[in-house]
Amino acid sequence: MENSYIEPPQELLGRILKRIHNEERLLVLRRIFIFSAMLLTSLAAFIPTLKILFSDFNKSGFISFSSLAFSDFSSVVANWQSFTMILLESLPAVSLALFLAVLLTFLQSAKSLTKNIKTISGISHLKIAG
Amino acid sequence: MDTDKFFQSKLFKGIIIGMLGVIILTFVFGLGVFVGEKRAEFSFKWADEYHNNFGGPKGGFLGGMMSQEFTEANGVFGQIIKVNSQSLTIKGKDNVEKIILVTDKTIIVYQRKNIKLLELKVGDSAVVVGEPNNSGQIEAELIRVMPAPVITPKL
Repeated sequence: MENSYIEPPQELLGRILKRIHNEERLLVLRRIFIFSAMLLTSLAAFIPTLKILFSDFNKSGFISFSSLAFSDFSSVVANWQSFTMILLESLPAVSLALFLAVLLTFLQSAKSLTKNIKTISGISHLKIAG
Repeated sequence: MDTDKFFQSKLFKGIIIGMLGVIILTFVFGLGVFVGEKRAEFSFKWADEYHNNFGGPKGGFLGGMMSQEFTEANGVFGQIIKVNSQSLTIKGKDNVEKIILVTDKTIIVYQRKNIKLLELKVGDSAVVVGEPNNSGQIEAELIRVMPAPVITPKL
């Protein structure tokens, strides 16, 4: 009876591993590209959102109201309810949320980029025979 | 690598979680303010247009005043434009004028000393914290007179 098993070529394992290695490398490169774009976008948006935030803080009077906590602490404590209300009323919530979102994107992108750069340098050092 | 260690640290995770919490809080707060303003705006317009819709003065009683942004109720920051024996008028942001009532409980502070109402001058900048009353005025609890801004001449 003829042997029905076909012996795989000896270099197959090496080829499969090389392909996996290349796919992993491509995936990491893609991630590096995406996170770099996110990092650059958030970096570009950082200054304009910071300017908007400062402008809104000044316009709303939040800085003037909050400065009372340092200059007239005892009066502020005595009238804490009105003071809390005026701080909440004058808080530029939308521009603050926008700025923090940009900052969060920047930090997370920097973290992921560092991780992926480390991964790709690890992959590049890996040598697969095949 | 120090940067990598920092990104993997608990401190970094804490910062990210804290920031996410603040973003969510401010976003929800902003959304609440937005919805509240929309409802208040509609209520004012409804009341303003009531006599127009059902007979009355064409411009309504508020005369389109509520088309502006809503103003703070618990305080004001701006320039004093009028001083009376029991009250003062302050022009705040967007040129909105507010009447500030001064009571016996009101503390008026300039630099490190307490002063009296009549010592205030037109043109002074002041920060007021207080409670709104039913007449659309603010009963002041604290009035802090701010130093006049230093104007440097242009060379």
